[in-house]
Amino acid sequence: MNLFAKHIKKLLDASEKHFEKGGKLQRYHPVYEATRTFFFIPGHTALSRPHVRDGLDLKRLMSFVILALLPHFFFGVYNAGYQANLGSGLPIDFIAVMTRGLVLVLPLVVVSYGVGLFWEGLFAMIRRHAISEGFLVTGLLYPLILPPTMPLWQAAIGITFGVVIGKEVFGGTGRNLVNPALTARAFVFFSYPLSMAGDSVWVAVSKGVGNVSDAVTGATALAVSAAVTNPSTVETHLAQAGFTFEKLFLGLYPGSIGETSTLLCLIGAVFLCVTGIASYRIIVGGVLGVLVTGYLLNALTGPSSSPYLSLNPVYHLVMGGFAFGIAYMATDPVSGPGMNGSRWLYGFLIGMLTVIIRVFNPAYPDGVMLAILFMNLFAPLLDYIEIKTKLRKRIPNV
Amino acid sequence: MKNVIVKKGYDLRLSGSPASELEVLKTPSTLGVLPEHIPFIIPRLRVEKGQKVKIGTPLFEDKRDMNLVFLSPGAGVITDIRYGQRRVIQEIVIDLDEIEAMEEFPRTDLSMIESMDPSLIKERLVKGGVWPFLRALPFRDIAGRDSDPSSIVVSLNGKDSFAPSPSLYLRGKEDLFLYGLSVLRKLTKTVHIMASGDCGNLSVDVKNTITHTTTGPYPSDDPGVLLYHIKQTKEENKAFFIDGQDLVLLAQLMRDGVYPSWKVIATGGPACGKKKHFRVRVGSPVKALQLGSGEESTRVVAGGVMRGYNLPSDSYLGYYESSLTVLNEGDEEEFLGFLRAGYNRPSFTRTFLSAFNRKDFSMNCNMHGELRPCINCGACASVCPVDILPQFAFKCLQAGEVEEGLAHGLLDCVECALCTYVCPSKVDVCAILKKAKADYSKEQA
Repeated sequence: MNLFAKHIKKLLDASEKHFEKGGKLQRYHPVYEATRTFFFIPGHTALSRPHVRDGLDLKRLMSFVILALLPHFFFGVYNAGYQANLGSGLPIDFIAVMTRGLVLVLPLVVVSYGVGLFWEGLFAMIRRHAISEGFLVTGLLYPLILPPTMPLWQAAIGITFGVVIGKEVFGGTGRNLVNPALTARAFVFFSYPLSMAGDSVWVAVSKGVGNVSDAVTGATALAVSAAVTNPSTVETHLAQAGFTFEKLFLGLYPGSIGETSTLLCLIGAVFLCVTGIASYRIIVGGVLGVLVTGYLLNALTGPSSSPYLSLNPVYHLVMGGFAFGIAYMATDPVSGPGMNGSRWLYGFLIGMLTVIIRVFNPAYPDGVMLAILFMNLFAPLLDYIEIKTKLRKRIPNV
Repeated sequence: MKNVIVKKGYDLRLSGSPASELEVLKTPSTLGVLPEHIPFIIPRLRVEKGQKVKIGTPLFEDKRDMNLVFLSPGAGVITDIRYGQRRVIQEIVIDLDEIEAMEEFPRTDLSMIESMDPSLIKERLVKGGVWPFLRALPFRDIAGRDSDPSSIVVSLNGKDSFAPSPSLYLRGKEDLFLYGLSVLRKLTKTVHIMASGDCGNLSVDVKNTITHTTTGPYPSDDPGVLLYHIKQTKEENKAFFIDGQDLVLLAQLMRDGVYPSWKVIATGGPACGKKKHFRVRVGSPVKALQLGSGEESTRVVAGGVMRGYNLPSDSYLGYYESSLTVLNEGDEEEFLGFLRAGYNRPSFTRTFLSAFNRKDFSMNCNMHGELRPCINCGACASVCPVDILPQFAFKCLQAGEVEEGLAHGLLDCVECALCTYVCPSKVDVCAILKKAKADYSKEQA
């Protein structure tokens, strides 16, 4: 390890002069700095009080989110490969499935990071500031909420929109109003509805070994629920379509790459809350929002109303992208509210809006993306109201 | 005795706390005075190089109030006056005489105090160079001589590293402490005496005077934090405060008519060779303590790691500070630092295995990361002892919205620096708040 560190240090030290002021690559200094600080936390010391500082920095904070996302990535690779091989009648042993999955998923991740980092780097160079770690999370979140059959060029345009319009035009990390990964997804969702509609999902199939890949679609659990017309319960219909509660919870069914497994979302959410990175208030608020709204709708159902209203609300937690969204997207501290009370309300309203959009709006089978983006815009208002009430209680000191 | 529970704050658990043994250090051959480190004052020298001074001879005054004088802690010849950048007076160095002469100040018996006019008491304190021990909230400038404080808070012990234990600095000085309290009671109606956490063995007489104990992490020892928790009206904001040991020094001048020249200090920290208490001459050179520092890679901090300042190893003890902490600089790069398990890396969050470590931590001065934009994580708000929302307040101030900053409680800020400590983006939030306070204070004057 030490030998490795020494070699990297030598390499970095040798190339440093080119990136310094006056060097021929001085424009690319942010790139050099990002590389160096990736390998080495700088030896900067506190110049004045406080003379000691907390061990946590943004690099570690963001790498913890990535750590929580890695199980989703690996499961997503397996699931994408499994569904593809199952659909095309190919062997479904582990190696074959993982290979197929990697072929499907890895290019999307590479495109997301590659194109996204290009924009990040470009803005960092123009603005002459350091490349922020925030993108490392965005770059992984985004492909995980895309279907595995997403054309790469569409994914590239999406992440460009997400980074440039979702974040950089507002001034970069820490200043964005909405979550960049969700902005990117919303963009491709509305621009290329054929690739990702939400009511059906594409599964990559191949007609035979060596042939060009093709794809077939299958209805999602959300679409099945919405389509139920007879008075029998929706749960039975879902089970008949192959979406039992256990299956929805464990996640081995066609869907966007990383979001199908509620179990992994639960593990990731607990991990992030325990380490103190994500706010448990948003997550618990969101779950409460879904359940309260769901039970309210159950109570409101009459003989003539849509059977979707009578769905057991617990199903809303495991269907679609709610679990993934509330665990990783809604807890983004920059686009979410900063006050603890607002966080409860913010989470609750996301849950509520998700269910309402799902149940009442046939155009958008899954509401969680729009619910989070919508509440992102309201986060500053929620904060404003809570701060005003808090400040009113202070004994003034002027 | 009322107990005040302070919920928010954070204990650093810095290793190397001083033992409760007291070593009396011989009088050194030189003493130094550091005008640079007395906040807010604009010093003007009253002496020059080569001049002879006694204990208690005025060395310099504050240009803002020419009667406010700072006196010499020793008698001898001024051998050097060192200036820093922009002619800041850094050090006045005095070579001590074998037998030191003292300036005479009037002595005041306890019985006389009762019948004395407060303005006469003030005058004696100012002339005796001990008035600056009294400081005024919210700006923490030296107390105004004409202002009428709502209360005076005496703080017995500090939680920043490593304030001397009251059981040591009050030993044998209990009568002076009680005398000092009677002096303060002549200046204002309400005197709060606060103790936080463990005070060691105090005599019953002293214990009976304590009006408030505070329970909670650092900075529950701060007078501003106590005031924030007990105040009912906004008129109570104008309070004076004084350190317990400084009150003893003040009493010494008033009762015995001698300028105090000895005090108790505590030394500690992970890189400190001697972790204990010393009785030293005021203005002693740091070298005389032989803390095992002086190497390139260590830093001596005067007055606590959260609030204090870097003290070069050839410098002297300051006017207010009574603790020295020695830390390793920690200026080495760390390979793949963001992946470390970190059993010995303390953090406010639970992102390191240190969350399971119950021992004290050996910390250094490394920033552990680079400056990044604020991501609104709210760590600062969850440690702020006076419920400021630093993540919002500092943005108001940076946008020039001072009024809004004041509404956020800017003047309640006790400058504990916890917001800066916990920030994962390494934003120096405390410095921004402190500067805004100082600017506002100037504007008010």
